[in-house]
Parts: sequence; C-alpha cells; structure tokens
Amino acid sequence: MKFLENIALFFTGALGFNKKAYTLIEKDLRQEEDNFLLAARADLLGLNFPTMYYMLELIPYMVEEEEAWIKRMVKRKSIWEERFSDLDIDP
Amino acid sequence: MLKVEFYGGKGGVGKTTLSSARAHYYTKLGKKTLLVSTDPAHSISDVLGIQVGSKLKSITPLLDAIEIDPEEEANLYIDQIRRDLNSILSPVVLEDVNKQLRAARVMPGTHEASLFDKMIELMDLHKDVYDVMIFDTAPTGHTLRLLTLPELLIEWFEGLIKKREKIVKLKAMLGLKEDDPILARLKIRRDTFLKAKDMIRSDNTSIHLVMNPEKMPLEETKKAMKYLNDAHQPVAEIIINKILPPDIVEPFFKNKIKKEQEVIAEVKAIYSYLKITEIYLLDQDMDADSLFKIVELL
Repeated sequence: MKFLENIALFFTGALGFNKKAYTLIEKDLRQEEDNFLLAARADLLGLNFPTMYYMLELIPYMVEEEEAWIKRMVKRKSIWEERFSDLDIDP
Repeated sequence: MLKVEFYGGKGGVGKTTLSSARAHYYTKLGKKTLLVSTDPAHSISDVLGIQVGSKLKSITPLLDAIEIDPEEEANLYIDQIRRDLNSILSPVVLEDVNKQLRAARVMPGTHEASLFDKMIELMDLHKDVYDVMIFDTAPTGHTLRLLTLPELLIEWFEGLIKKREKIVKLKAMLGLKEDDPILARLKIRRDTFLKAKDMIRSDNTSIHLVMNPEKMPLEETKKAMKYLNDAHQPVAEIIINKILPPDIVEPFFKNKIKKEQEVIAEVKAIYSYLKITEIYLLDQDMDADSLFKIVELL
C-alpha cells in the first residue's frame, strides 16, 4: 500500500508541475497587488500622501482588488504561517 | 507663445493690486490677458470693481478674469468619479465607497490639488487664446508649494506606474486580462504633471515677488528667494509696494521713510541681478480707478 501511495505522490508532483508554477506567479501577483494597494490607498491606514486626491479616481477600478485583499486577510490563519511558507519552512 | 506670470508674497502686501495692474498694463500693450486668482480669499473682484466668479468673465475686450473655487473644482472631480462608480458596483460596496468620497471632500490636500488641477487646465486649454496669463496667488508658502508640486507628484506617479506595470505583467503571465484602466489613468496623470512641470519651468513663465519696504516682508522675501533658488525656479522681479513718498516732512514719517529706504537699499544690494520695481503709496484706497494710477507706474 505504501508503495502505491508513493507512486501516486510521484505522479501528483510530476504532473502538477505547471500548477505549482502558476501558484507561484499567483502568489507574486497577490503580493504585488497588496504592495500597490498600500502605496495607492495608504490614506485608508491614516497615512497622508500627496497623491491621495488623485488616487480617488482609481477607486472604481480598485474595489475588486480591495475586496480580494480583505477576504485574504480574513481567511488567513496566521501571518507566520504565510511567511514561513514563503521561505519553505515548516513552523 | 503664452507668457505666464505668478505673483506671490506675504499676505496684504498688494499681490492682487499688482497683478491686476500688470494685467491692465499688458492689455494696454494690446495683449489678450487672463487674470487668475488662486487665493482662496479672493479679492480681484474688489480691485477690478466687477464681480468675477469661478467662470471666465470678460472685464475689458482684452482682459478676462477668473477666481478659482477649489471647493467647486473638487466637487466636480468627485462627482465625475461617482459617475464612474455607478456603472460598476454593487449597492453595498457603493455605499462604502461613497463614504470614502464624502470624506475626501474635506481631507487635507484636496483643495490644494483641485486648485492646482484647475490652474494647469487653464494654462493648457487656453494657451492659444491668451497672450499673457497672470496668476494672483495666495500668501507665499502656499504658492511655493504649488509651483514645486509637479516635481513631487511626478516622482510618486512614476513609482506607482512601475508597481502597476509589474502587476499587469504578472497578470499577463497568468493569462488574465491585459488592459488595465488603473495603469492607463496613472499614465494620463503623470503626463499631465510632466506638461505642468514644463509649463512652470518654461522661459516664458516668471515669478514676481511682491513685498513692502519693511523688515518682516523682507525676511519672508529672502526665505521665498532661497526656497525658489533651491528648487531651481528663478524669480524675475521683486516689486516693493506701498513705499512712503520721500517728500513728507513730518518727523514721525521722516524716520519711517529712512527705515524704508534702508530696506529698499538692502533689497537692491542683495538682488542686484533682479528687476526691482518700486511703487509708492497712494493717498487713496485701492479700487478700479486708483488701480490705473498703479498701471501708470509699471
């Protein structure tokens, strides 16, 4: 049984290669989106930036990303888990 | 080619009077002139003797004037954003965003930015209509910030554009949509500020500092000169306004006149490379009639 399980695992790893790359890019994308959100809408955190006024016009197009960000923040179990997984370390 | 002049200085030194007089002066030379007040406490209506508002108003066949209302401009901008919203969002999210937009009407920096936008719009839209545009600005600090704003904003926008481009690239790698309205808008803004910077930096744009012949306005003028010098924004002229006529013989005024002449001499010594214009005090209040006496002196 152990042998069959190992074979199954092997194939998941081998064939899931694309999925892994996709996930990595997705992760990068989310990180970049978070960074952008912070730079563009820092006023939501109470930081006063000279571009605040001009960021207002982006709101209609950013709502989607803001919503996704809030969901991600609510869903995550712990900040540390997320960070450690970035570094491939088991907490 | 449009000639642009900014008039700045401490409160009450006579910026509005001098900029209005200069505007009339240019019309006398046959130049189509626009006088713009950017000071939230507008007073060109009082000096010109005609009610000017936030729309272009004809004063004489060659002279138009406008008093920018930052609040009105900000409201127009925010209402436009609101129209963009209505087609996109669900009612629940909409309420949340509307709350943010309501707060934006009063947040710090809003009026400064909306004023700046209107200024750039006027300079850009009407550059072929007028020969001269004269800006009567708010007291010094405000003006200086306004003139150096584009540089600051361009840098911010360059940073944001770089970040956004990365996102668009990653999205493309994932096969997601490629046209990004956010990136497009950021670029439009940056280009506007680049244009504004070019206009302010142009050789046809000049800064004129108005002061009175007293110690405090002199100190403020020195500070403004240093700030503008550091920002590589050359000043074209210092106008010394409300100088007491030297023929008064009363002892009280004699001493005052002596002090004033000392200040004037100091200005001339420090800024010998600048055009220094001296305007003597009139024996009457400023209004549309006495304004022309100043025009004669320019």
